[in-house]
Amino acid sequence: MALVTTNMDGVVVIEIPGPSLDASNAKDFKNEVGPFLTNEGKVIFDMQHLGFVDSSGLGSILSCLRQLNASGGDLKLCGMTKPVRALFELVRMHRIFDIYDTREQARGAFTA
Amino acid sequence: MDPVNEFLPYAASSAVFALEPQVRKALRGRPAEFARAVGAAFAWEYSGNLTWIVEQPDASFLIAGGEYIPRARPADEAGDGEGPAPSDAGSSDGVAAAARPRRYYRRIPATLQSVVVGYLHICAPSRELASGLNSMLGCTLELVEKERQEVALLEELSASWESLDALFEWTVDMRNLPDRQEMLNRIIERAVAVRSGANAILWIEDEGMLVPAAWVCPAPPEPRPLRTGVVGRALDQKSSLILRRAGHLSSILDNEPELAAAASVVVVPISTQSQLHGALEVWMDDCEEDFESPHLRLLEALAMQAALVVENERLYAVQLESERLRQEVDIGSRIQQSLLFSRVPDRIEGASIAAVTLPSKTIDGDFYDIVDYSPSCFDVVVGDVMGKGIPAAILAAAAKSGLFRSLCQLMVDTGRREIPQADAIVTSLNAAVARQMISVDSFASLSYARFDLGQGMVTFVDAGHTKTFHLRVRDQQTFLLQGDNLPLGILQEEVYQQIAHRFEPGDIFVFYSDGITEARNPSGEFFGEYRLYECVREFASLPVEALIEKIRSTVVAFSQREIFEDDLTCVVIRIHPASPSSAEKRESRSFASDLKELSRIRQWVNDLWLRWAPRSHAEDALYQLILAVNEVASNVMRHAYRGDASQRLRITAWVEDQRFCLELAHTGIPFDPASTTPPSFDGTRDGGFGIFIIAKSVDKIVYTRNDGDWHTIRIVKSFGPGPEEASAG
Repeated sequence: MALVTTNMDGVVVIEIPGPSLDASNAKDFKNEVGPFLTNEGKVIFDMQHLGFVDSSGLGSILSCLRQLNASGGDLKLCGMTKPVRALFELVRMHRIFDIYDTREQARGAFTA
Repeated sequence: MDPVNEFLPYAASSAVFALEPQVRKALRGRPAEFARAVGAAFAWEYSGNLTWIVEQPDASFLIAGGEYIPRARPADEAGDGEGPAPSDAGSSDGVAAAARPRRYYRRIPATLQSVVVGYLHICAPSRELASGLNSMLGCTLELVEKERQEVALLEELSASWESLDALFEWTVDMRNLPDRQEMLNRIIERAVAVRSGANAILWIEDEGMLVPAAWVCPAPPEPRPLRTGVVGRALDQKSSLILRRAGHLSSILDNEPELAAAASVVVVPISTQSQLHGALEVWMDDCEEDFESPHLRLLEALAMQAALVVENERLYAVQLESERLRQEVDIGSRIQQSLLFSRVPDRIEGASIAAVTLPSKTIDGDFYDIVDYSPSCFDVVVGDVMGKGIPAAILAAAAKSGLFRSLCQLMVDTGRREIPQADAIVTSLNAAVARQMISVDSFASLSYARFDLGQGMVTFVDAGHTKTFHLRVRDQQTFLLQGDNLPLGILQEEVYQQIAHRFEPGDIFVFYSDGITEARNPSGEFFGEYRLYECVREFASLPVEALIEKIRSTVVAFSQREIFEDDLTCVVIRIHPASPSSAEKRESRSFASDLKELSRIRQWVNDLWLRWAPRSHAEDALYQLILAVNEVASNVMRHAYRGDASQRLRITAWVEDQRFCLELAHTGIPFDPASTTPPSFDGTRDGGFGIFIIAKSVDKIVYTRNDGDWHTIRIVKSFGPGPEEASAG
């Protein structure tokens, strides 16, 4: 799993590769994304390529949030497709995560 | 005259060896008339063995034992008949000659402690003398016997101590020696140390020959036949043998040159309870004194040590052999798994197929294959090569590769993209492998079946295999498919015939090897065809994987064992039912228990939904169904099968009352939904969402925990807006 990352003025935007984040690749994802979860890190996951996320995939994203929060950093999500949004709402995770339509909106939320 | 027998008067068993000096002493004390009255010689038939008492030229007596049968039995000659002249050879020649003129012969029962132990054969000048002689000898014998027992007991006691001591010392010593040859060398050193000046050879039996394994003697010995001469005699008797005055015996020693000058010889067999391993031969060339009982004891103890050394080595070799056999079984079963059995193809639509094999402890030549040409046409091949072990497995692999070669060849030959007929394939296969099989005296039985689901027709070539079972589900009628072709590998030019047979939707076919019908229960009864058919009939409604599992467990329960003499191979095929309402809306597919399959499962369910859903279906309902089936399958792979990717799960999908139904069947650990903890929705835990997601996503979820090993999880989702959809808005 190769991650495409962009630095937007100190905020790291990570595009999660598609088409799905499920039990078969959630561990890989966690290993790949680990180095970017630095202390006080500001991270955005761009999820536009993800057509499907299951409970394992959700768990891996949730663990990233907890790791960043613990070190004073934060994680914001953007670019969610409809099926993925449906999952987040099903398990009420839309209340836990800051979710934006675009990465610019998410980037703006960090400075606010 | 047989030289061994000629010599026998001088050979003695160890027991008589102990007796002899005592007898000599006792008889020497009798009046001189005794010896003269006896005259030349008489024989005493002792418990079936003849023991000779011979007057020596120096008027002393010698008792020796053996199995000599006189040429003319004295008992046959009445009264004053010609007496036997048993000692008419060797040293007593002169005395025997002196006995001849007396010609008076009598046979009298000899009693010892009022038990008749044999008969005295007496040559004496008068009847009275003979009777007197008898009672005199009787007394003497009794006296001698008592004395002998006493002395033997004492000797035994001290010898036992000595040998025990020696044995202990040697055992400690032997423990430090590196290999068998060193140990045998040490034993032979000990043997010649029993008496100074002794020579010894340690013979070990090897394929009917005695081979010298260690020796201390002037000339190295040569291997010789097992039952030769003095050593052979000890081996025959399975007891130690002591031989003296060997100087007299040169005539019999052609085969045992080392004994040419021997004055005294001991031979002790080397044996364990189960097996004779060889003999320890010890001799002295010049000596005044013979080997005595204590020497014999020590030599017997050494022979025991040698037996232990040889037996240990034999057991070690047996162990190595069994290790080798185990490896062979291991290699064989790997050949089987990789070459002889195939994956069941999962792209066949309109039929479900499952196969099971239970390899036996010795590996047979069972094999099967399923070749799919299109989703509605496939071949099932089940075969059994005669024989066992790796050779059978390799022949079976050859048969399988021959099968594919024939298939390809026929396709090329016809020049059209047409699948060759089953009979042509089997005829070509037989022509290809017959020579090989005939040359190794083997053959193979085979069932070859071409299923054409479109036509509802199976074309079938039976080459001497077990009958194929067909259950027509509609009316529960059974058909046994059997042809009359020869097995493969009997005649190279045999032309195989096929038969065509109709089937209907829902029908079941069972192919199997004779390992199933010939499995036996503890009382030796065969499992047989009938039990197999009954089992299929009883569980006909189960999914094929569950049905085949029932067959397996029924055979195991019947035979009360898990490991069989023969391989058990079974292939079950169910033609999908085609009731008008669900004909085109029911599908079943088998997936590997590999998380990488999740995306294929999602895609398959997605495609079925889009194919079967009414126009008014809700897209969100589809997302939720996919989410749910993904979670169920992922749980089965990770928890029920504990991540074992070699397992399989079968998913069946159908439409019922405008609802999409999915059933996942697996053989792993059954799931208990009550055992899970609810997820936390505050983001403090990563896991625990799976079950919640499933419950929230579908209308209904049913966990079925079956009696056997097969468990199912059924989920139902209506095509309309889902329940969550309504509340989430």
